[in-house]
Amino acid sequence: MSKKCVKCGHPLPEDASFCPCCTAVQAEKQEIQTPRRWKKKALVAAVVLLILAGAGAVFSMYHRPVAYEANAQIVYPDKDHSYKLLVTYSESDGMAGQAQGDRTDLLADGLDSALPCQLYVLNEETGEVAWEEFAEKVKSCEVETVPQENSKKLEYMEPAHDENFPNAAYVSNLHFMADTGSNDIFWKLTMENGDTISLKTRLTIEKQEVVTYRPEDTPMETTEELNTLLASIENEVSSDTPVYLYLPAVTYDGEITFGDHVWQIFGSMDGDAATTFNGTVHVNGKNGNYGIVSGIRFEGNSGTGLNANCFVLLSGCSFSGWDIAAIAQDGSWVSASDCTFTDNGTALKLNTSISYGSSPDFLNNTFTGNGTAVCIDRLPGNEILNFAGSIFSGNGTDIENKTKHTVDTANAVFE
Amino acid sequence: MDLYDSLLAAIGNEFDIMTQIKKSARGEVLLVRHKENGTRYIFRHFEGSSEVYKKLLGISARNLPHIMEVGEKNGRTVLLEEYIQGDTLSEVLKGGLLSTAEAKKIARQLCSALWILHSMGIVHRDVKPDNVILRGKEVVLIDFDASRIYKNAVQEDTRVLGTTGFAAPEQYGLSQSDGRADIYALGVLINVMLTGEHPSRKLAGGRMGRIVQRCTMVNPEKRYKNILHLMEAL
Repeated sequence: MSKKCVKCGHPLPEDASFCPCCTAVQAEKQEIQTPRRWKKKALVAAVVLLILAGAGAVFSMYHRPVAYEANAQIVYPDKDHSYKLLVTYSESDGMAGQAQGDRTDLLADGLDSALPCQLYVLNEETGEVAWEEFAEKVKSCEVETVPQENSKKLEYMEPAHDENFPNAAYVSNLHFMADTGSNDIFWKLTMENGDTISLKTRLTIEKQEVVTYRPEDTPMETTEELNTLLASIENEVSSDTPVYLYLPAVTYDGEITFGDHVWQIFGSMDGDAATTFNGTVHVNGKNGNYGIVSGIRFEGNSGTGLNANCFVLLSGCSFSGWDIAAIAQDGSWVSASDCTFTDNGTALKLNTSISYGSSPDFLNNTFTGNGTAVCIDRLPGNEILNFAGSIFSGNGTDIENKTKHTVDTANAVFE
Repeated sequence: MDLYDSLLAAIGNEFDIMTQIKKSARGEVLLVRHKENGTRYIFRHFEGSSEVYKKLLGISARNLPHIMEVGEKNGRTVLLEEYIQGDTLSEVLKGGLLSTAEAKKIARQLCSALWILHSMGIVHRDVKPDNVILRGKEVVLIDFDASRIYKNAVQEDTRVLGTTGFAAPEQYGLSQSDGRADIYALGVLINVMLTGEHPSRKLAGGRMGRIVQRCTMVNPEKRYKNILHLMEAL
C-alpha cells in the first residue's frame, strides 16, 4: 500500500482506481460521447434534405404520382429505363420473365404446406435481374391475401428479400392447409416518388383424397405382411393418390421399399416397443411425389438406414448403428427435424443433383457420436441449410461441407 | 497487497452481499452494497482475462456501466462495476413487443455503446435482451464476460461463449469474430423487439426487416461494414 485515497486517506494499492472504504473514484474517467460522425452526417443530411425539399417542390409540379395496376406482371416506366415486374412461384420462371397468374395446387387432407410467392424485377430492355437498383426506389412493399367465398385466409410472411432466392426482389411465404380454398394475393409497392404498383395473383388449394391404412383393418404386423400390402398399393392405388400408413409398434427386418406415391408414414409406440426398421428403407416417389416419415426407429448394424430417391421429410425419428443413416441421392432430398442420429458412420449425407424448396430446415436434431454428422458431397442451389436448435456432440466431424454450401449454424449448439 | 487481494478483502470488509445474480463453473456475479453509504455495485469474480475490463476502467459513457476497479491474479479476475437499476429488455419484452420507434431508439443507443467498444478493439459477443438494461430513457449494455479484444488479421477460432440464437455464425469457430459479430446479434435483437422471434423464423416487416436481414447475413462481409453504418441506417 503506497498510495492514499484522495478523499478519505485510506491506504490503497499503487494502481488503485477506486477506494472501497469511501467509494471515491481516484482518477477522473474520460467521458466518451456519441460518435460525432453520425451527428455530423445527420446535420449534413438535414441540409441536403432542405435543398431536396425545395427541388422536390419544383419536381412535384411536373410529377404527379401514378397508380399502376395489373395482374401478375407489369412494365413500370422509370425516368432512366423501364422495369418489368412479375409475380411467380418459380425462380426459373421469374428469371425468364414469365409470370404465374392463377395457380392451383392439390394438398392431401390433414397436411399443411407453404409456397414462396416471389416478385422479380427485370430490366425491360435487357431482361437482366435489376432488383437491387429498383429496391432503392421502393419505399415499402406489402402483401395482402383476400379469401374467396367458402375459403380460408392464406397466412403469409411479410415480403422481404430472401437469400434463398437471391434473384427475387421480395419473397412472401404463403402458408396453407388442404381446406384453404382460393385466395387473391395482392402485392403493393409504394415508390419513393409516390407512385404505387399493384399486382394480383390467385392461389387455389384443392383438397386431395387420400387412402389410409391402419393396423386394425389391414395386416401389417410382419415384414411379409407389410411387403404384401405395399405391393397391393403399387398395383391398386394410383400414384396421384397420397397414401397414409399407420404402422404398428413392431420390428421389420429386411429391406422395405415405399413406391411412387405421396407417403405419410407414421410410427407408433406400445410400451417399450416402437415401429422399427432393421433393414434399408427406400422411398421412391417420382414426379414430385414425396414421403413424410415420422416417429420411426431405424436400427442397423451396417449399410444404409434410409435411402431417399425423392424428397423425404423425417420428423421425430431415430437412427443408430448405420454406415450411412440417411442419404439423399440424385433427384432427391432429405430434411430432418426433431430426430436423433447416434453412433452412425455418417448421419446425414446429401449427394444430390437437385436444389429444393423454400424451407431446407434441419431443426432440433441431435447428432451424437457419429463419424460425420452431416456430409454435403454435392448440392446445387442457394438454399441456406438451417440447423437451428440442433445439437452436435461427440462427432468425429460435425459438418463436412465439401461443396461449401451455405449452412446456418447460428442457432445450433456444438458441445 | 495487490489489487486482486485488496478488492477481495474489501468485499468482505466494506460491503454486504445482497444477492448472488449468477454462478457458473467459470465464476460468480454478486450484487453488493457498501456498508457505509448504501451504494450498490456489481461484483464479478471469474476465471479469465481482465483485459477488456481494464480498457473500460478509464472511461465513462452513457450507455455502458462504469467499471470501478479491476484486479487480476493467476488467471482470475475480480472487479467492481456500477449497478444499473432498471428493467432488462427481456423483462420489458415479456410485456409485449415494441413499436418501430421504440426499437429504433434502443438500437441506436446500443450502437452507441458498441461503437465505443469497437473503437477500443473490443467485441461484446453477447448482445441479447438479458444484457440490455433500460434506465429511464437510457439504454445500458452490460456484461462483458464474453467480450474479448480482437486483433486484425489474426486467424484463430473463438470459443463458444455467446448466447445461442443471438451469436453470429463466426462465433462458433467459422472465423475470428470482429465487430460484425455484434452487428449480427444486434440485428437479431432488433427483430426480437419487433416480432418476438428470431429472424429465421419471422422477419420484421418493411425497412427494419431489411436492416435486420443485412445485419444477419451469414457472411460477415455482407453485413454493415461497421456499427456506424448500422447506426446511420437506423
